[in-house]
Amino acid sequence: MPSPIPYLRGLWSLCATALLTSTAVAGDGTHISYNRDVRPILSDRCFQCHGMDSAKRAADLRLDVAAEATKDRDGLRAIAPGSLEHSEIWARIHSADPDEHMPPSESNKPALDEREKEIIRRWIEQGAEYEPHWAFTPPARPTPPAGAAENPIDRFLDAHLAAQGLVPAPPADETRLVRRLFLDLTGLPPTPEELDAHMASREHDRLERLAEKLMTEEPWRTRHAERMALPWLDSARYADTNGIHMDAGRTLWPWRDWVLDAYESNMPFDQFLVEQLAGDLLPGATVAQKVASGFNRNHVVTDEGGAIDEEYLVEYAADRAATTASVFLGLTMNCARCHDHKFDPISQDEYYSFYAYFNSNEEPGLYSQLPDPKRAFEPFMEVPGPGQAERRTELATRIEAAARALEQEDPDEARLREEWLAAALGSSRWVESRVVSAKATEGVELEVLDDGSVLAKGPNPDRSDYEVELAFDGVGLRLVALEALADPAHGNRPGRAENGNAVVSRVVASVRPADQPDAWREIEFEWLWVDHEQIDGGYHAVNMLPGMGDDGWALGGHQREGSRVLVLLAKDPFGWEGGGVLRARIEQRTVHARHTLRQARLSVGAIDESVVARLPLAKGGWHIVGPFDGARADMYERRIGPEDAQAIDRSARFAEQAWAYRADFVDGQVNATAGGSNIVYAARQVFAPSEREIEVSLGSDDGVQVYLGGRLVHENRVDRGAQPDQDKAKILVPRGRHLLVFKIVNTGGAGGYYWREQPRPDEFAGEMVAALLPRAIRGKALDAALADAWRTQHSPAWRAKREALEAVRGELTALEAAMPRTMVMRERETRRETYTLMRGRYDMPDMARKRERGVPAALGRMSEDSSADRLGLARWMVSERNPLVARVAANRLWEQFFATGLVRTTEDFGLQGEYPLHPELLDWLAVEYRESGWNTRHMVRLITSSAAYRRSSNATAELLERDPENIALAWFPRKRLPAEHIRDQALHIAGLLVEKQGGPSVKPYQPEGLWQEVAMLQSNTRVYERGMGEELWRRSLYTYWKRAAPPPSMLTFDAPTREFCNIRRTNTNTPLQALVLWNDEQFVEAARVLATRTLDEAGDDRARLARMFRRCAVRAPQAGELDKLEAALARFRQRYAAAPEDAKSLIEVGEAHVPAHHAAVELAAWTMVASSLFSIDATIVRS
Amino acid sequence: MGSFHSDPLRAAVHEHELLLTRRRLFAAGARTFAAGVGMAALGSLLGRDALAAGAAAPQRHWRPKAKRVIYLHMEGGPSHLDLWDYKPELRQRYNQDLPESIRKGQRLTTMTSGQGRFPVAPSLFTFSRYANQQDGVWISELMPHTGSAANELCFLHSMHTDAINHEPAITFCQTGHQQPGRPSLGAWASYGLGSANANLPTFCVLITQGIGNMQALSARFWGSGFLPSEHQGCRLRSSGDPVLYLKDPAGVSRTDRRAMLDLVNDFNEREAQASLDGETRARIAQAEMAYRMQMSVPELADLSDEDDETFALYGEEARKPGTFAANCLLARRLSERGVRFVQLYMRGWDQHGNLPAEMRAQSKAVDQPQAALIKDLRRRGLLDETLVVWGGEFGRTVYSQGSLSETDYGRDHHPRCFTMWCAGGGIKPGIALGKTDDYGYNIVERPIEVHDLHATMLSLMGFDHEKLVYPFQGRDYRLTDVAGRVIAEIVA
Amino acid sequence: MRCIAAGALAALCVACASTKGAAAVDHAAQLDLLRAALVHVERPDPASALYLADASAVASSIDDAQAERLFAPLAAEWLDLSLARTRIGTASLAWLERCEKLERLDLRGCDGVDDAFVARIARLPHLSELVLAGTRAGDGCVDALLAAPSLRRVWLWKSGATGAGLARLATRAGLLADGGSKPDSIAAEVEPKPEFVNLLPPPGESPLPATQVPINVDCPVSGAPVDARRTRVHQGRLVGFCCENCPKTFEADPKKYEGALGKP
Repeated sequence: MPSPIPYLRGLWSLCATALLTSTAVAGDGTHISYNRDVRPILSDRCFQCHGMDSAKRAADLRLDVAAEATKDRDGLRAIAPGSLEHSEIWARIHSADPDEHMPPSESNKPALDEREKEIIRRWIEQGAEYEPHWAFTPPARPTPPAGAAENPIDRFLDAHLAAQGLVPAPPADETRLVRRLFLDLTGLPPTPEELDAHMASREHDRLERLAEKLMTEEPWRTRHAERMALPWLDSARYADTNGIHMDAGRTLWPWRDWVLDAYESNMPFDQFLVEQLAGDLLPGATVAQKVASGFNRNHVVTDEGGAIDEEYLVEYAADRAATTASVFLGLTMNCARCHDHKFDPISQDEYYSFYAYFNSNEEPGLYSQLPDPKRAFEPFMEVPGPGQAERRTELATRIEAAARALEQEDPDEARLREEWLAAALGSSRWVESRVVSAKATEGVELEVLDDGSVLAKGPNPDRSDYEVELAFDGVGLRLVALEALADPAHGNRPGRAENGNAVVSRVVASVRPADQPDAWREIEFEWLWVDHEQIDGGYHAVNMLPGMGDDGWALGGHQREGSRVLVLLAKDPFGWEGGGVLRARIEQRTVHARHTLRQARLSVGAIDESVVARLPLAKGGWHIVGPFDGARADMYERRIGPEDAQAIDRSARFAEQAWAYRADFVDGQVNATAGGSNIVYAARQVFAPSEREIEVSLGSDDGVQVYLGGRLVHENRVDRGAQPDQDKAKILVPRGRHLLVFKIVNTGGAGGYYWREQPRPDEFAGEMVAALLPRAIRGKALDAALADAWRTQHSPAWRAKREALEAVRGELTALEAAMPRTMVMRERETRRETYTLMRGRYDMPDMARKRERGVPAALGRMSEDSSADRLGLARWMVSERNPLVARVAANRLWEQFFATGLVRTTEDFGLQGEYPLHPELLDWLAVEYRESGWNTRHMVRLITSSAAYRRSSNATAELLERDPENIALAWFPRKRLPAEHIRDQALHIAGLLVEKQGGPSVKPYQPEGLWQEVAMLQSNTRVYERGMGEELWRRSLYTYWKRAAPPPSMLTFDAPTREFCNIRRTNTNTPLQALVLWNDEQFVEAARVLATRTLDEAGDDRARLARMFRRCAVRAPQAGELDKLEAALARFRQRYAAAPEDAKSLIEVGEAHVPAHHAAVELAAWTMVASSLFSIDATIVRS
Repeated sequence: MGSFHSDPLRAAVHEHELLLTRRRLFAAGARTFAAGVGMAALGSLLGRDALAAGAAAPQRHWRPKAKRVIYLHMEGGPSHLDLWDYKPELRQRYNQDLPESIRKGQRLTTMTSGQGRFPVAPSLFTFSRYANQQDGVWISELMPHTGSAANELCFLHSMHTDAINHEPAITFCQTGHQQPGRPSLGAWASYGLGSANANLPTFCVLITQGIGNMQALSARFWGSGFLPSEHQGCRLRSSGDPVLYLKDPAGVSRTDRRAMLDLVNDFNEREAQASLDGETRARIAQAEMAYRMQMSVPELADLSDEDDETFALYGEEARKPGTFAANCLLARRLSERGVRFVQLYMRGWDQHGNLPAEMRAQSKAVDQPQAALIKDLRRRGLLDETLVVWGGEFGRTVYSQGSLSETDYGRDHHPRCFTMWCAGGGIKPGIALGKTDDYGYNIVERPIEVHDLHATMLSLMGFDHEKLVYPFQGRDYRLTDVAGRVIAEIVA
Repeated sequence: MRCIAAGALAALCVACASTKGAAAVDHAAQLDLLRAALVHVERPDPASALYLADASAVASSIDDAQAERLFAPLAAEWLDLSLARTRIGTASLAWLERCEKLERLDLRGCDGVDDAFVARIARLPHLSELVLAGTRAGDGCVDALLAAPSLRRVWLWKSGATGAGLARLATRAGLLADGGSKPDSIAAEVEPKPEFVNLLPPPGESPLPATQVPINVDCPVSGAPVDARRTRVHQGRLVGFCCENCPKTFEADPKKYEGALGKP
């Protein structure tokens, strides 16, 4: 059914005409201004098809450019300056023929009404002068019109009032003004004491002094900062969660603290802008300046598995561009993402030049999901709290000193050590040897160097065996050493693989007497030691011993530079009087291709039997199998299989489960295993060069049995949590290879075990084994490690020093973990290239249209020397060249005090935005703001000292009739307080408000289960844990903001969800708002505490009622009002007296302490009166 | 309230809030700017229904066929192949690889892009053909009750969307745009139609926790976006207060609240006289409505006036608050009382694996109640005025995600085709529209965009979807953005 | 959530300015009365001269006297009246009969409505939809309904009507009478139980991940926490790793680490 031309619409416009003409046009008689009168009409009705957007342009006609509009098109001219009949536009807007009529019906744009046609007529007759868009020409300071008023603001406004013939409302009475100043500057009403103190002072400029005090003296200054920061959080879309999918918690509150400090120190607005846009790029940026760059990280991010990185990187950059443009430039830049802007002179290409400033942050599009709800999503930085930075440097110096103290070697201790080692080594020594032959498989050549080593050359095949024959002299030898040498000059890595790593599968050795070429006898190795092995992946050196599979020993060349040393102990001695030959085949057959040795050297030697007994066990990594569920009764007796295992056999299955290597299970820490009632086995391979009894310290959750080679060697049936050193056990380890199995019997709850071997008193623990090696082989690092190992065992003084060092290091790591982090901007080294995206889609870049960073030409040019990054952009924004920033900033300040801006579309100064109601005043304020050094407080003083600000807010019927929209500000506009101030005010009046500036967000009262209903099961912000004590009564600016379920009482009073930049809140009026004031636990408790406070003060009912009213409405109640209150109090007293248990339950709402010294009935009655006063307009409306 | 002039036209001018030029004075809507400047905001005083004086309230374009909407959103994307899109021939293609000609390199979520194979997984549920006004419609054994209402249902087999992931896909089908920031369907309905029952919220939201893999919900799915925040959805909750902060604190009776209200209204009346502030007087009306809502909402939620026959129809689950059955019954009771837009969510349809078991449980929870809702509305003479829409945010892939066996498989997200159905409110009953190919992978006949469905819904509510606009940042925003065509074939 | 008292609005007055002079005057007052009584009134579309009304907010409080006060003055302009669950009775017929433009009348649950009542309203010239569900109307008004000039839809669920009455109503072409027991649509044809030709590839070979979230929490190679974005498909299960190089180690020798993944 076709839609009837809504004639109603025309009628409304008709009545609108009567009014508008009276206000806007008549400003200065008959002259029609393009900017004020014509452009709004053309922009809205014509530019959609005859404007900037070349793609959609009809009839190739532009009406936004003078030359185009007046061009002669074969006889026809859209606009013929001075002559109506030659202006085609005039005919078209009157044409009755639907095909001719402009704007056409399918454009959904309404026809021009009489008033608009009148304006077009007079404009064309006056020569159809175009003017550049008012907002794109930098403001010049107009001279205020002559007038009696002293404040320039009043001079502009009074001129307008006079022109309209309007008589403004009288000044408001002083108590109204004091309340208005307190609310506008601190967000909290004056207490009766503050009001009285002000009214008592006699200075003529006491209001100016009050404003000054509220901004510069504590405690008001902090409140002022908190009040000014609140709207900024809306614009910056601050929240405590990510907003998409998991809606994971994030840490960005340090940026909020930065905003608070900025307002508290009256930071100049240009610095406020530059540091937030480009704080991280400032030369020598301070911690604070980097924190400020968090402004651009407030946007929503995704962690939804399956999301595509590039798509969201585009969305993040687009969000930053849109927010920066609308907050600082007042431009709807994001409209040009898919096509040229329909109204403003911003082409799609120019949009992507602006966008390019923001798309090179070092960040992923899809973030990983981690459990920590306080995570700062990368890129982030640490923000040392008060004193933490100093503490960190102090700890660092103490660590450095302790480490140095550890290093100095006092000479006699060194001597003592050498003697001890020499004595301990006894007859151990290395014998002379020389390489007889060296060859390798798969085409690798081994060049024998004169230092006795062989260097691998030629191709580096996936796998290769090196075979070296070594002639030696010596008898009774049992040691074979293999050095994997790294060359500091060539990457200093032991392996030939790309990452410098190498893996030796095993070393197969055989010996023969020098004079019997074929009498080879194979040597079996029973023990070994290495200075480093790659434990992630389980490449322990013991893998090279017989029967240990063929994983091999990984040298970890990619993790640690330098050479490696391997010492092998033969089971039986070898060697002959006339010398012998050792043939060693170094097998390198790991699955990892090309992990072969670069350069190797072999040595043989003897070891004193006494030293063998002092060698530590050679150990493999921990493997786990389980959990096996078991009924509680037989858990200890039940033998599932691992108890009897002799070796880790990964193909073996125990009730369908197999051994799994766990790199993260290490000695000396509690290793957590599966929770619940179950059995878990932890096992590792050990090799003993000689029989010995080892002492171990155990812990387990709950019971434990230890088996060695199938034999039960220790047991403790107990229910406990795993802690270090709970049991001590002595275990006899015979010589040879054994499997040590740790059976953990968990009877419920968490599971875990702890294992630490106590080195025997004279054992060569840890790196002490390196003493075996000659100093030449050892190298500096190993020497130091050897010295440390010896001192740990033999020098208590040294051990104490080291423990001291460890303690201080522990303190530092704890401090760093506690130090808050925040999300910041960090430019990538290589800047991301930007192409115009067809239809704004991430996957359709137009390769022909590569974009360099820059700003739309219509806004003027950046200076030549400005850098092509956010810093250059920020500097341009605050420079004189920029036509918009000062105006937009001044307009936002104006809106904060007069409820609507001088440009009422605060977020849109473009062609579709509103023409300023008082253009000269706006420009004057803009220039004043810049020339005062962007001094925000100066502007606030200026505004709050103006007569317009101090006018009464009571409109008159006559004024409403003549100027219903209060354009002339003949009366001061009333406005309901924002959500946060309504709650803060209730807490402040009740005396509950906890004033603590800054810090992490808090969780006050909220109805049950709101988060669970929307959150995903794994989300770390699924459960709302209400805060304790103080957290319930902090200012609402600090309330935790979960984007998927924002605080309901705030949403009800029009707070935005903070998912996108919101410049201006709507101001609605709904029943739910009344319900919040009546029934929200926060307000009921506040009412009861206010009632208590009132009852604590002296005075009869009427005096107390008057005082309570004065706290809320900041004025004395009129007689009639007091009678009403008294009647209500009486009614409630009588009602609760009849049902005292009702009174009792009412006064118990909330956590705040319920005093015993007031009767419940009395307190309940007063609570209801207080609750009423919290709801009246006199309290929740700023008037 | 301001006195009425004798001459109606004059009264209109005075009473009427003035709309200046066609471009609203500023984006917050003409009504609210009046609040700022103290003008008697007649719009807020007299309520915002369609003919509200508030010039910002849009004009309906023609007589509505649907006075009310009930939207049943199945969050997670139920598999169209296991419920509605019958593909008998697929049985012969069990475990074959999906031909490339069918897949045409579709943009995959990274969950399955890593898969080596794409084996076809036909539905292991048997389908039956239920008679309707055409030659019958095939429905799976999971939905027998819904099948029994086939005479009323209009199936749309060829829906498609752009988003491959839940968050953007749900945001798209609830707000017409993939990224946050736009008003939801219900908010547009509230903005356009205003309230038809002064004692109840205009746009209600009911959430049911599912059994299967549940995806996230967010306040933006029922948010007001740039519309005034009074149009946001009001969540009716199954535990605690049905509407947040509705119940008076312990120890406060109805008469206490009345007494408090009289006191507050008295003060506000005085304030309004002094300041001529329309908003202050409007708050008196709002507080009165809050007082009435404290009775009307509990009366709504009190099912004692429903007889056993109702619980036989909806199923015994309907007695347990928060279940889908209970929420369907509540939806009928809300519509019966003139609530304009009721939005139900059933979570848990994201079956990447373990599909057969989870879908049996999910379908069992929704089948009987949704069919009961249709039949109950029809027999009460409400169905032809109440538009019911059922659907998820996308479909699921024909190839299995995860190990495929004869008794178990999973399906990944599939935006290129899925099935929704609707009934009542001016929709042709008992028909089906659109077809997908043999694999249920691409659309071969009559593709329908989500914007088309939105355009149709608005049209049934009496609006030309291109003319129901809201000016924000210089642009006249629409629910259907720059797309949307009314699906003429299904409008009666 | 916003619901504000509905009712007469200036736009209405503006619209009604176009109707007759004298009646116009009390239009605004009448609409104010309806609004104050919380009865919702709206135009079907801006150009229409008629109204829709919905009394559901205050149904139970409307008796004949109240109905008279609210609806009688504008009787000639009602297009669609929802009086469900109100307490009106025969006294309201006086003005109801004057609603000659009325097309839809909803009397759901009004127990004051009986056969005699229906007989008189059935005569309304344009009445096309009549909801009598839950009223006392029965077979006695079937003749009146059959004679109703433009009746298209009538609902009689839980009314007095019997099968016989409904059968007679069914005889009139173009009239849909719904007694609430409209037969369900039956499954005309059920397909045989599907059986699949088992072309399953050899066990252990189908490399498809089972769920969207990796099956393990700790990286099988290094034991560090898994990063959900670094996954590989292994024997039909989505395995998570902590970094980029562990997957290579794992794939190099799966058997070695699979154990950590628990039961397949």
